[in-house]
Amino acid sequence: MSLLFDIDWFSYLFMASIGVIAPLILMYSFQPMKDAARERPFYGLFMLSLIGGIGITIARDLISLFFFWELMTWSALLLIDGKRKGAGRAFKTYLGFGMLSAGGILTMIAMVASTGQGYFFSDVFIALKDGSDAFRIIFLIVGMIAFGSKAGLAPFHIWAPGAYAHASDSFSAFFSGGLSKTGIYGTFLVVDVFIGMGILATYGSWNELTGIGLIIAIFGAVTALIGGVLAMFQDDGKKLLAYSSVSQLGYIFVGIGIGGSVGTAGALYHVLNHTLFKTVLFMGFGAVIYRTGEHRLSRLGGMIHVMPATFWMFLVGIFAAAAIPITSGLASKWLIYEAALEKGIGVMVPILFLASVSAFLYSFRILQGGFMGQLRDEFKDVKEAPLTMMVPMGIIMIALIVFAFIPGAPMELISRAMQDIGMQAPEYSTIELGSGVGTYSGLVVMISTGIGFVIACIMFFAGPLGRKISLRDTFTAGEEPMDRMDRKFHYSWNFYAPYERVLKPYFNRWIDKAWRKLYRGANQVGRLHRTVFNGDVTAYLWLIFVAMIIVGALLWQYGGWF
Amino acid sequence: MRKVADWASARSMWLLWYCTGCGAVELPPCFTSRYDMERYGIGPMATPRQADIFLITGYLSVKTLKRVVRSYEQMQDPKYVLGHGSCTIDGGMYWDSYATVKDVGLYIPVDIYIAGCMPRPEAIFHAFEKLQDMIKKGEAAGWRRYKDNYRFYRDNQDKVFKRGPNWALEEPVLK
Amino acid sequence: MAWSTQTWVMAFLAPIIVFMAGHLFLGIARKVTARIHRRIGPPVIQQYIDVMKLFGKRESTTHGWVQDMGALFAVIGVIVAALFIPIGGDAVLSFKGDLIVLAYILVIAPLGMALGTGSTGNPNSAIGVSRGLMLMMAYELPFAMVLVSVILYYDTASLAEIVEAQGSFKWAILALPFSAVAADISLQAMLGEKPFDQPVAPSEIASGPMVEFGGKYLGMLMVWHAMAIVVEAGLFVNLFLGGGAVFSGSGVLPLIGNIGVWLVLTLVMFLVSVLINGVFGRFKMGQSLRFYWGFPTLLALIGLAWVVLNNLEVIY
Repeated sequence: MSLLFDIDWFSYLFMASIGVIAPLILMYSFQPMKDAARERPFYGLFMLSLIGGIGITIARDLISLFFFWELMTWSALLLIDGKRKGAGRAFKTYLGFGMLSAGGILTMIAMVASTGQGYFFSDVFIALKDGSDAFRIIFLIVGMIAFGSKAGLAPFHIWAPGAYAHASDSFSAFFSGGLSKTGIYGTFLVVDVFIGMGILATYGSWNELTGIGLIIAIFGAVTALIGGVLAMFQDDGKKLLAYSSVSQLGYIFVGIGIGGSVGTAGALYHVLNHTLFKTVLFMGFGAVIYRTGEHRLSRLGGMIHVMPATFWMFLVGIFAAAAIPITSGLASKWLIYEAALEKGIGVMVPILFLASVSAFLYSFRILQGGFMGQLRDEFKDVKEAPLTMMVPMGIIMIALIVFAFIPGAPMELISRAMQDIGMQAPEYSTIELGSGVGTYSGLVVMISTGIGFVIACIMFFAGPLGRKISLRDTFTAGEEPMDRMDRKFHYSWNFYAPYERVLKPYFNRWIDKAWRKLYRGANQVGRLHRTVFNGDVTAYLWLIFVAMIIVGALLWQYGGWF
Repeated sequence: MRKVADWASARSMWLLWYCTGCGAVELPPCFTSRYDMERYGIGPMATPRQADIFLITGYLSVKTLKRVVRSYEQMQDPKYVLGHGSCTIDGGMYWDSYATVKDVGLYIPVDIYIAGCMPRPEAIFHAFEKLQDMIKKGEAAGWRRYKDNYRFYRDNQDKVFKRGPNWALEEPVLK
Repeated sequence: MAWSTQTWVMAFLAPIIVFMAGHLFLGIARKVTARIHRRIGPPVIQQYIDVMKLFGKRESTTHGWVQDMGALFAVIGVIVAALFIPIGGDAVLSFKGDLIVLAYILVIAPLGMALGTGSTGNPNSAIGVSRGLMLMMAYELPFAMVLVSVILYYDTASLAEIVEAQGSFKWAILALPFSAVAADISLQAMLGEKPFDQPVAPSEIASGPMVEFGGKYLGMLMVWHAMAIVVEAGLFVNLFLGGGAVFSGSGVLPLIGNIGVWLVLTLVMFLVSVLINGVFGRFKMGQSLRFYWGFPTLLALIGLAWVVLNNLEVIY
């Protein structure tokens, strides 16, 4: 049995996303791991998951893919070791969905083997090309479940919030920023490499958009919306960022589903963007947790006064996540929107835009609850994040801002990657991106921001300089506050209560409840074995006796033994 | 430039919407349709940070005085105080009460007193016009008096109420 | 795109036009509101006087550089938006596909301001900003549908081309009436006029984000508000009312004529919302959400369906 490995530009893109942030995470984790003696397995498991992630991208046959997939899944699983309430359930949920993914890949291997082909990628391609329609559809569904659940596609996303929230802080950034991309890579494999959009188009295409691609895109849009809305209602900062990951990856699925040169380019660009900004977001919030020991936004506040540098880097990450034009986050979303408009499925765009607006909402929640507002007395002496944490965040922040000026630079990598899967990238130059219906010029946006800055500064310095007053000197309707201003004057609890009231009936995590029912049902069925293996020794002796009689009878009948 | 700023200050005065005593009932007629205050550029504002004028409308109890001083100190220069009603001048109807202040000018600097119990909207408008003239001429300098004679005002204030630990307002210094 | 001298001239002229027009419009709005209340109202130049007074204050208090940055961001965001909106059919900076970018640029200012207000330590400002964002979520659903309808109808995502396609009075409001009405209802919340002025609710939350802003910072926020209403109402004019491009031909005179028409149309749209503002109270947050995801979304959906079916040539 031989295994096949190869690198091409497409693998390189994903390998780069995982590999580039790995040393940053390593540097980031020095300080927290130094102080926590029990975290000794961290580095070993982190390296294993890194090997797994990279191995997935260079595998060229299903067996090695499976091997590295399992390596990654299990090492990540053992790093979900939080000590807060809910960590145990997060562990079990991730385990369940990890086994679902693994089962899916094994099913794919079995399906291909059943047609008589081998397990190399080229064999898979031949098997699907020659297989029947039903075979292809089932393969697609199995592949989407296996890889989509790793990437957090609804309704297989429920493991993501718990896992990202309860993983150790340094690892959450890698988990969410890097490893989730392997699910995207797998989806690309199934849709574009193995089956190919050309064949999928034969199952109904409309206006240059395949019907199956449309279904994938709809799932992606729903994921984006669910993730965004649920992120708005979270009090735990890491869970908020986790739901935000789910939402952003939904966008990528929309890009994959729409397909074509612009959609795929948008999806790949968003892979790069998301890796960068999600890493810096988890790192920034992890720094806050490291210094204060507090996860919940309702117990934090005012961190900007004691950790200003962390705040700035976190802010650039937030701007990228919300696709504000002064970072590179807008370029990828722009491409995805353009792809949707080009193919005429206009209904997708308002849902994506709504998901984007929910991104503004949860961004504000984590900024206000964690960094702004009143500073609590017990956090007055919190120090700035250590240097080993700030350097990786700073590197990513610079990258995000630089790419805002030159959105064409990542496009270079993306176009080579797309050529390797047989597609043509849309035109681009260093400072401009092109699509079918328009262009996006990053430089122009930044220049206009500069002009605006000049005019605003002129206005600002026209008046007298401000007199600085303390945070406690604030409008309290004339009353002098008699008790703790730092707690009572900080708005961070129950943030979007009016919307929670209205949207709760629709977003009450019925998907989670459905999965839990399934789990309980499976549990019940599993328990049926208890009727036979009920722990009673005499029953077991009877079973052994009966089994010996049956085996003896079979041997006498067919083995000619006696 | 100072003249232009003063002219603009006079033509656009924003009241702090803080109605301290029973004289405040004369304010709603001032800004509703009958005696339209907005045509002078005067409008109500929600917080002291945004307001220029502070109206002490009617009697000032000692309890209210603490809040008034806090709101006054949160306002930004230049700021003007109008004593509205006889109670602000010498105690008015409550001249023998133990709980009111008799002369507001001891605690915060007042630019214009309006006599009456209570003064009608016409009187209030007369006072606003006088205030506009004073601002244009540069005579409305209550805020400067407060900073110059801060010790005087502060001693008087301390005699009637105590500032707690959460007061958090700096002592004004005239630069 | 070319950076000719005309571009540079317009780059500094457009914000000035928007600035001057914005305060004038607000002054006219105050006069109109006063007349609805059967009062006389302030002179129409009152807003200029207000801004001058605020910048002339002798001191301004601030809670730190973040609050300064918030005020700066608000003005920067709205200036960038003003540079992208075609004024009189001629945008300073435009590229194809800028309508989507514009939708995100319009958010820079509120988010920047959110940073500034959050740093003041006053919970009222945070409540105000969170309400503003929630309102944005409510009205963006029908508004995004309307934008998509217009983009699909004119087959371009560039605002300048949409304006050009409406030349000689082929205004989109006649072609897409449902979308236009839905956009106008969304405009009410974008402008922050009653019944959707929850973010700045003077008596409820002590004027929301502006609670700790005084002096020149409040002046900058007022400049932001004035420019924002022109930009947003102007966006509606560009999408549905032809963008003011009625005089064709190059040269300075038709350009001035077009800018004039654009300003008049923007004023008309703004006054429509002011008239509604004058007679309504204020909705609660949950009511806003339920309203916007109901009737206006239905109208926008009808408009969108009409465009999509039209593109498929099912109906004419």
